[in-house]
Amino acid sequence: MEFVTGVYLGLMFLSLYMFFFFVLLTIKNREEFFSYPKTKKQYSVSVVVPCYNEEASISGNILSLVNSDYPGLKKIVVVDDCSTDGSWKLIQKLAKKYPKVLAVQTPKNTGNAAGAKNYGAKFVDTELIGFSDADSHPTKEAIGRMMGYFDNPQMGAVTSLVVVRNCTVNLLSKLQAIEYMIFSWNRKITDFLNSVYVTTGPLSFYRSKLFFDIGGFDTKSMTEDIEITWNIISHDYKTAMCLDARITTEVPVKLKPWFRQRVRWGIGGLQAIAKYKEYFFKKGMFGYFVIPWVSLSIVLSIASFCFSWYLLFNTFAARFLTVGYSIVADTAIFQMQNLNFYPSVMIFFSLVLFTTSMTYYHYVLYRTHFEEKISIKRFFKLVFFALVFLTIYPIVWFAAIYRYIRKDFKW
Amino acid sequence: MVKILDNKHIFWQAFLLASIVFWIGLLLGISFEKSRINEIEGFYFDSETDLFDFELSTELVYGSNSSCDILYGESVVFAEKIFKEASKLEKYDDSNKITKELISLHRRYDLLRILLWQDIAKINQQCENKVNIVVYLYQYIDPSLTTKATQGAMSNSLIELKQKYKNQIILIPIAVDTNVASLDFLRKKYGLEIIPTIFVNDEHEFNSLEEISNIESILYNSSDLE
Repeated sequence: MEFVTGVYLGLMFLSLYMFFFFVLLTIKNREEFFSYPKTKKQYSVSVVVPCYNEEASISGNILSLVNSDYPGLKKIVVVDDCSTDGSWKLIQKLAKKYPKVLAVQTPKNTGNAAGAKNYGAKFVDTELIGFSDADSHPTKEAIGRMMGYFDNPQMGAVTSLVVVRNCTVNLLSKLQAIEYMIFSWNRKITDFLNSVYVTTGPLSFYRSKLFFDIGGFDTKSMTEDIEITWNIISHDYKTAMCLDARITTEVPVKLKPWFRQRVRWGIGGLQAIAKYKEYFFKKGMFGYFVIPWVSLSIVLSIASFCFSWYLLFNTFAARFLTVGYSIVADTAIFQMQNLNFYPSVMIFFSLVLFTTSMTYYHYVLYRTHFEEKISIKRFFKLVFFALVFLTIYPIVWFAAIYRYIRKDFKW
Repeated sequence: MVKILDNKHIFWQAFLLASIVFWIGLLLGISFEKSRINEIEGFYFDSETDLFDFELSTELVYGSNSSCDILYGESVVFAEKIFKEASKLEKYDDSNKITKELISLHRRYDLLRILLWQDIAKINQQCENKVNIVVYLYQYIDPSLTTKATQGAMSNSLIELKQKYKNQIILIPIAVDTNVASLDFLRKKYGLEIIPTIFVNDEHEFNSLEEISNIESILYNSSDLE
């Protein structure tokens, strides 16, 4: 067997393992996805909203929070991180209108969301503290549905389902909408192992005492939400996700900001792996599942990308050179006899994995009510998502690794 | 707590399931590839018998000029047959990723083709109207990218030649790196050091792509062939 075939089969086995891991957890917990623990206890809750130049979107966020039906919501601390647009004036105006809203401003720009969030946390004295991105809109039931998880004293943080609001703008936003759904679903799956590895920015709640005990958000991290989640799990607390707490958010619709955002997330992931590397295969689900899982996903994504490009390069470079040489030899650049219609076992494996993954993705979108009916259009969107979006995504990882090595941690 | 204990089994269950599917896929792949090898082996067995028959015919009619046409006819049919089988073998070879038994089969086919080459050369010595033998020597195991591309262009050119002259030429592609001692001997005899190469009528060697278009001019009875 050739080395390339061996590598391919190795990657295929890992992919099959990941696939079955998700499928089995989905099947086993199929009734549990949208259920959440109900509680009779009313927690006192505050939500901190960091804001930097969010004049266009901040009122939507504040209004969504104000309209929340959860009676325990005491305070909405909106932190202006010295915006240069009209955000601060708008926040002050809304604070006057709604008594729950507290408008605060950092003494100077903190340079990242973590700084503003930590600043806002100083004004919180409730049992639970939540954080919500300025461009996110929680539904009115969202907060209430997340509270029951905290009846478990070991529960450290709870996150929500993030749905793309501007999903019809262009292809990039449509693909991100699919991605958010599938990744949220997979994140919920890790909830069944009590190992949700990220409590996302659009809306997540933390036990206040724990939050302050661990020192809040790490301002050096590019993705403070991943870092704090890992910090919480490493302190033997659990994390959960409520798939029925829906938050809508805006995603970048242009390639450059999208790429910049993803690279930042990538760097944040690498920072978290580096920071908690001593826990590798040491500390329960965190060391045996969360860190290896995230690391394996990165490695698998990059290895598959390199392998695919190696194969494509070898095939097309040889074809390209053959065309050039055929012109030199004054002969036909292509002969029908060159066509090979005999498939290899590698193609079979790829087709099986592709077909089953597509079926799984369809199922996820169906269950999350992403679109009401299964259509040919959605099928092609999914195929494009799997074949193009996910295939080229490792480029983000290359850029993140490059910047991480260079210690370029600019936002 | 109950929830996590239940789901912990997922780790080995997923491993088990992935292993089962992986091994089933692998075994199916192996049996699929084996069936291709068996098919080619069947072809080879027939071709080997045909070659023995052809060699016997050559011996029987040796010295009789009137039988040259019959021999040429037979050699062309046989050459066509093994050319088609060989190109199928090449394609199977490209697609067979797990089993590598086709290499030994490839070697046997190379040997068969060398025998054919020598038999036709023998016929050409005794007959007045000679048949054109175009031997194409190429690298089979791990050719570099440029060698692969050069071979691709040469192969295209030879296919074109064959399509143009049909039965007037006998095209014999032979891999040089399957450990056939007789081929090494023939390469030394004719001084065929550079690979890939096209060797026409045991005389003319063509190594560069620019020269390929000259092949037609040195074919036997080239003016009659056109």
